[in-house]
Amino acid sequence: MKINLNDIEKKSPFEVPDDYFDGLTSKIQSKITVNQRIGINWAYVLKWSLAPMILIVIFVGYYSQNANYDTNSSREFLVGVSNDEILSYLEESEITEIELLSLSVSPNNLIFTDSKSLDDINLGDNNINDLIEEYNLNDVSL
Amino acid sequence: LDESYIIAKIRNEETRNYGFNLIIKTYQQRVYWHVRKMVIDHDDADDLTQEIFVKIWRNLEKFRGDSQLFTWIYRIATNECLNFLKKKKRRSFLSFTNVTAELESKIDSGNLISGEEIELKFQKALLKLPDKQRLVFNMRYYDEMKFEDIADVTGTSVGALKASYHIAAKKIEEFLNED
Repeated sequence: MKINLNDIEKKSPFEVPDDYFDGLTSKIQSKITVNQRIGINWAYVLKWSLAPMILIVIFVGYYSQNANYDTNSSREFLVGVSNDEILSYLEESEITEIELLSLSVSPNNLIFTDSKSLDDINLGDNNINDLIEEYNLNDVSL
Repeated sequence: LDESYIIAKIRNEETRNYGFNLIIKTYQQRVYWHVRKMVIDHDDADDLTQEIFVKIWRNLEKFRGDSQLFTWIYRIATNECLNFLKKKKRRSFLSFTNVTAELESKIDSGNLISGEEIELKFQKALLKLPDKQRLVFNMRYYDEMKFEDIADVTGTSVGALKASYHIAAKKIEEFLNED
């Protein structure tokens, strides 16, 4: 005999444990409480972190612009100062040779490379030892 | 319980928790059975039902009242079911197992499933349908929902749903009449 859909009793074979639906409500509620406790409101975090981030970006941008401006303005200022004035300033200041070299863009050009220029200077052993001591050259192999 | 009463409660921030508790009380069984018929296994249906209500809670503020509350809830449940089965099929593809065979074996296992032989065969016949067609069939056949409401849940036209239901019914009858 051909089975027709209408001949079958409309009954689901599925079952649930006893009192399952009584416990389901509290399970759902506890899950929501846990989610609320550990949930991060990203919209809230973004809202309050965006303003400080924008301020930092503006500050960094402004500072870097000003830093460039300061470098340019100090170069322009030095162009107007004569070499004699710069030399007299350097003689009076307590700046060391090493510090001066570190400020130079091309320090190698400032170092004596022509060793013959020292030939005319007659230095005694005591003077040489004093210089070696002053510049801490004991450990340097020449 | 009148749906408009629940909607009024969830729209007011002060009574939203109470409104949500009313939603759970009113719809938990319908959602569970809707899910259970799709995933077959009780534990899966239990987990999924809880997830669905968590999702309903999270999206409660977004409910605009454009559709009925129960079709909105059904829509969330239906989407969660389809996503669950899609993930299950993806996993089974990687492990070379067959989801339909797995669900059929759950029907045979008899764990929280009992019924006449014809009822069990009927459930196995339903498993032969594509998931979305099975959902549509369940909503019409078991839940006796109007095609207009099913259209609201699935976002499909009434005409297409009627055709889908008719085809599904024919497929099931063919399967039931096989030896």
